[in-house]
Amino acid sequence: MPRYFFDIDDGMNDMRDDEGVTLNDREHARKEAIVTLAQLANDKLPDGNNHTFKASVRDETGRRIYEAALTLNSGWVS
Amino acid sequence: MSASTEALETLIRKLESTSVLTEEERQAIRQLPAAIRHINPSQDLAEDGERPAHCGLLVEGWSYRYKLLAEGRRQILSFHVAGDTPDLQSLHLGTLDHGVGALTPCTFALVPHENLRRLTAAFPNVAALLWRETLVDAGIFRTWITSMGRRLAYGRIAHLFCELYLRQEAVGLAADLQCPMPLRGTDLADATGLTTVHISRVLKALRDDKLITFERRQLIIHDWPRLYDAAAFDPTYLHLKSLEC
Repeated sequence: MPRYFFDIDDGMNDMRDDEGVTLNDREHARKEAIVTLAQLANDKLPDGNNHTFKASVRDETGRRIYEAALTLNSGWVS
Repeated sequence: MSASTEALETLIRKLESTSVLTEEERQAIRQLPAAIRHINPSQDLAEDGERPAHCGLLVEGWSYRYKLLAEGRRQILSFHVAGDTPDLQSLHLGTLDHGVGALTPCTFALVPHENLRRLTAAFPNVAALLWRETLVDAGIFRTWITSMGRRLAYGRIAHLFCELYLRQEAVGLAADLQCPMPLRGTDLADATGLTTVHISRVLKALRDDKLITFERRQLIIHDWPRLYDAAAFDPTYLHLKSLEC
């Protein structure tokens, strides 16, 4: 199974992944990135009104193959 | 001592970790027939839906209970170490409602239901202790539900490590804040409902915070009070004798 590397910027730390995770294929890597962003959002969003989480996926050759960003824009309206 | 006699000593030690057995009860357990079965990590002791005719006492290795969902997704329901009997409920519930697999090479001692029934009918105290095992099991499930539903990832993993250390320490498999930890990222992910990527981030954070490290498949806890706090850990649910006095 190929190994994919997930660099994740949670808005506070931009963390480069040196270990990677083995997954079936690119499609699993895409889902892994999206679900991870959603889970990070679950942990960290309630603390503020505006936040962006980013994930960037590299393959074994170091090539960047996928990027995702998840953004919350919120504020009191009255 | 034969392999099966030795295996039954594991059960005696486990039961005596929370209670006292009489010499007669110990002898009755030693006389149980037990077939030794070795299982590799890719194999199952029992599959979901099976109707086992025996209970599998784990003598060595790490086992786990799980459910498989669509697309091969897996939920790990519990982890088990030597002394546990992960399919004990099959004694009274005929059909298994989950699979029992091996995480590391495992040795099980298979004790026929028939003999266990005779043992528990003759020795109500042993029956009560086995019942207690399944009750503690349920307590662990309740705690996992609470963790999964309400704890943030960092606390959830910290909580699992506190539990796995204390459970191993209680049966003499761990000491001095070090314990075997054969779980891979995917196992932790499937046990906590988090992605493997999220797990590796949390493990890195726990290491960066100097709470734990891993060395040769061992978990080393460097700061028990802070790990405990991070998990908001309350060990009551484990009902360990050492914590009750």
